[in-house]
Amino acid sequence: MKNLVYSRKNQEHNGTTMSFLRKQESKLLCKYWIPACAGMTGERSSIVKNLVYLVILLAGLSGFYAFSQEQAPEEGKPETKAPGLDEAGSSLLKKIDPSVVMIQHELGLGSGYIISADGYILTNGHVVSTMERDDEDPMEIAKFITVVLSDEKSYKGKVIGHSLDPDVALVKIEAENPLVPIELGDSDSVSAGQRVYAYGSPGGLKRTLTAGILSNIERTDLVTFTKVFQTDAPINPGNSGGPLLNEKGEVIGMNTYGGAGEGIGFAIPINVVKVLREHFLKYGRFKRADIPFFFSNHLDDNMAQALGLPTGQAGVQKGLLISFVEDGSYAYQAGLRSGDVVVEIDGKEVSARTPAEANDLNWSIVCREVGSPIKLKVIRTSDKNSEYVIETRMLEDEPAVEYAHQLGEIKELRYDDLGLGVKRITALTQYIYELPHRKGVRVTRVQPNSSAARADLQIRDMITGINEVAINTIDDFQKELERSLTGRRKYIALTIQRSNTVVRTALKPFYDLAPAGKPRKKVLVWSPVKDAEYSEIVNRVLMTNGAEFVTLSGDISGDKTQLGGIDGVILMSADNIRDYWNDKGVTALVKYCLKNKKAIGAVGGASVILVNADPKFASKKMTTAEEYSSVMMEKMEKKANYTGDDVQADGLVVTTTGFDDKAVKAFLNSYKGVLIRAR
Amino acid sequence: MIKRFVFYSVMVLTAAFIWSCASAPAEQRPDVPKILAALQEDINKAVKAVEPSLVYAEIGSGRNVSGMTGVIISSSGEVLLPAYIKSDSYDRVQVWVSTEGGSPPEGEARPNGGASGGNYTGYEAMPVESDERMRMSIMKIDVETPLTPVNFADAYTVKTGQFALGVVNGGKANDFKLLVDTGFVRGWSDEGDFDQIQCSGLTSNQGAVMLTLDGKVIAMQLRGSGSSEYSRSMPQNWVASNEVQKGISKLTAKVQEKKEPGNDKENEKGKPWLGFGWSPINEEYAEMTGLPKKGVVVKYVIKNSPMEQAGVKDGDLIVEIDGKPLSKVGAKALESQFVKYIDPEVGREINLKIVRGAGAVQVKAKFAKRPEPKEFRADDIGVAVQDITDVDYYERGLFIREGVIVNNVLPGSPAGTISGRRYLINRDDVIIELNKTPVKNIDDFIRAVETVRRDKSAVVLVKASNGIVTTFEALNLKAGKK
Repeated sequence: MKNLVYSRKNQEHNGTTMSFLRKQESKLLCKYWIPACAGMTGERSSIVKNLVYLVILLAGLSGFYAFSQEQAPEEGKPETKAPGLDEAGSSLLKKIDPSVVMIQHELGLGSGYIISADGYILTNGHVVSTMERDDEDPMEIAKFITVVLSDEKSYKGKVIGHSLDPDVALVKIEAENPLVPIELGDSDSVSAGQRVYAYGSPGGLKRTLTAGILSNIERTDLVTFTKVFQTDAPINPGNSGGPLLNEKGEVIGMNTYGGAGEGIGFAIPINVVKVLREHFLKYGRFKRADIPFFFSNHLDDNMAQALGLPTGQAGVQKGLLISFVEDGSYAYQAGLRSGDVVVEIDGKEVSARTPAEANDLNWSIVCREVGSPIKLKVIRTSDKNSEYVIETRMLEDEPAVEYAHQLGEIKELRYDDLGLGVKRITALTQYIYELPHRKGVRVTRVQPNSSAARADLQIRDMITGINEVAINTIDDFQKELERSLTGRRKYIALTIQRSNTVVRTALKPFYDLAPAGKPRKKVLVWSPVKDAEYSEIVNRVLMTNGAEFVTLSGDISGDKTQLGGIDGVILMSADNIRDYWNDKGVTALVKYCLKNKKAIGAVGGASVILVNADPKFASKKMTTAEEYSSVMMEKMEKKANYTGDDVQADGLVVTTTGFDDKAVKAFLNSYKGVLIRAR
Repeated sequence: MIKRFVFYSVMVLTAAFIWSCASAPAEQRPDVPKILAALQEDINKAVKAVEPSLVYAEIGSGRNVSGMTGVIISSSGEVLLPAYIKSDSYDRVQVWVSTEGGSPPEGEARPNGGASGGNYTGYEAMPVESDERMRMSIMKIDVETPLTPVNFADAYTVKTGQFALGVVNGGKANDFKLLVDTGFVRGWSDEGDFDQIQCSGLTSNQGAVMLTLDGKVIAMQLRGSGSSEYSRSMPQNWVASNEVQKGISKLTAKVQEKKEPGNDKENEKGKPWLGFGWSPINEEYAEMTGLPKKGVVVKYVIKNSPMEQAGVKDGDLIVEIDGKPLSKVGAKALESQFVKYIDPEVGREINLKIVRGAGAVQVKAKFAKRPEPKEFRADDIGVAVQDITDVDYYERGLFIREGVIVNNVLPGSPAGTISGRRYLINRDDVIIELNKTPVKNIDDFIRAVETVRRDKSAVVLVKASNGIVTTFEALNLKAGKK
């Protein structure tokens, strides 16, 4: 069930505006909390429970550090807000200080707190996520997470699970000694007005304690999944993921965002965090349960009267108004209809008279076990208020769709060389983006001057056909598109559903590696194992550029046939790459390429094969994954030739750290250039 | 009066200096102060000449006032304003005219309660005719002494790189003094539906006129808007004077037409309409299919529309209008060119060359007045609704054909009650049920409203749908203004 308020033809539905918001974010995030889903209304906007609450702290994670420098008080001197509280504050500080940690990774940092002696740590989801750096997969997490304890010991952190809404992550470290866990309180027993402390570790030893009161304990208008606490204890950037504490030093919330210097901060109630912790431990992710219907934000007196509900003894009607059930959907088949009012769930009376109640009710349903039975008693207002009992089972919710500044959870299928990105169309996607149906894929990225742009594709278009073949799913799309690309079709015909009209257009890939009138480039891709990391990206780039390529893996010493006519080689990496550093077959391949002036590319640890193969490589500028850098440097003429850059090109040799998708894509771009120049 | 002198002087000095360094030996250096003085004189003359023809106008009242420059187009008091003013608009329009030279005797009462400001006199202006697409209106003010109409010159003689002046009436804030910019003509623009001049160094001001150094008016700042099938690209630059003059004659012709017997007011509101949707053909698609690259594809044709009567079909490719082939490169330019060529005007007949399948056909289509469906206003609920026509279905991008679509919501009414940042009911919502009665069309809606009124209901339930999702709203009829 979802609380959806659609706003027809809202600007926010427009792709351009969305990307604009995205851009604005990085500027605004540090300073302001952005009212989520601008344009949607306050309470009415509590659209869609499962949208992510990104707000601050994301886009400019890296910028935060600098920011926190300005904001944070002096090192080691936590500030308290009002005079006379120093004593309470400082004793509390002493108690919790060992449990609070700093979490940092290649892209940013935040705070967290230890919840078990064996090293489980809670923090915000956005603290461990890569967020905007490359949002092909919005759920991507940072590669190298380091947890720094209060005594400055640091450990590698492993993400057990994370979610962007609610914004929570569970991280595990392996410490040699038992750690000091913080005490978790009960966020259902807090009251507005009570004194609270926010603690965080925005920069190692730089720790900040701020104090204030709980200003509001049920903000529901921020387009978050759950109610949120508002406090006037300043929450500085870098403090996100840190604990919000009561006077006893128990955690009642997780600090998530604040308007820096605005005297307003928001925290996720700890009871919500506890639910997520359980899901992460059990499933490695937040497994939301759902019955796919939508409910109105709340059922107040006006609405009850308008629906013609019998008014009870107190003159007050309780229940949850179902505003939309899609024909034929799971909920429809279960027997629910729009206009039904849910009055009991599993024999217990339910109430959603206020947005806060509706929110709580939603959360209690979302947290149910997927597949578990549920019994709903409904009043059918469209049928003389007759009562129905609906018995069904909880479905698993679909991944969240991005909306306004929320990233969602749906991975984009992206063809950079076509400038095109598409996503699958979930039910919620259809409702939010007002698409006529769910057959096809939704265009989510059109790069300027790309093939996609030249085809006049627009964000929010649906691609429903390729070369007259109907496209129903994203798998259909991938299959048909890649069939066209491998066949090097000059034009790929697309059928587009745009609003309520159909448009025909054509994609014309550039096929850089199959230049007109010249032989098509042939590349041998070798990897130590089958389906090595990034091989999908490498294949896609070679394919969209029209190259002919063969893939080989493992021992190739007996296989000489593949060498004929190649223009270059790409060596992939995997955990077992060391086994191939002096491998006869691969070394021979490298020597052949060197001798015949072919393009040579190496990902991560594969660079070491090059320096081992021939001393000529020792004078080239190269890079590799950090863990292999010392091995490589030993073989190099000048240590400075190891650059450590994401991508390093020198003559016909291109190497990459293979750090992430982005590095590999940049590598491929560079390699492509070399390949075009190579004989 | 003339501002930006410093800028101007620096510019000229620099130009003169460069010129002297580049082409003249030291002993033959031109007399820079003399050149500057001559230039200065020219500018003064040009600005002075246009001054009596430039007026300042304000449309609206209270806080919703927009100010702009306008030009006098007849000595009897006709003024051209760069704005669209609906004939049924209640907006007050005031125009301030220079009385310098021909100023009436002091102390004399002004007609229409006009107020004197500086050397300017304010008048209430009456709408004569207005055009939505061009965003221009002819207004009439009641003057005693003849006014000086502006002299439009032929913009097509303008050369790229020549000096240009941008002049606006500074309005109340500047005591109605003129504000002058100087710049150079950069060239012509492909954007928009009208021929436009691009100019560097001139600030953008609604109604500003562009002058050559010899005082000829060559362009005016107009901004088009609207949301019909013809106004997707808006003029943002300086619309060439020839186009402005063409617009004026069109408006004048309309006035004449109305004066003829039999043309009652009812027909005034009609917008020119052909009843089809279109978009430029994608070039790569054209390449693939072997179709002409310069053309617009018909996306849909509305039933009983002029285009349907002309036999135009979905998927047709329009390549020529009145013998003029579409020729521009790029979708935007092609769009502009198409709109320019079809030149929407009720009653105008156009000849289209259409590529259909392997062959080509010629069709004739005549612009009709766009049908406007009956609107029903229920002020007690606070909405104005209408049937969903094919036009609405396509232009508003709907996914539903049954129900009534909301055109307007009365702020503060039961429907116009603020909920967060929106009203409970909003424009473009489609109401499919009122008070639990299904609403398929406006008659159903009217009947449902009558029932609500008869029963004196305190609250009314509205079920809306966008064709995809339904929502419920409870409207409290006891609250809000009626």
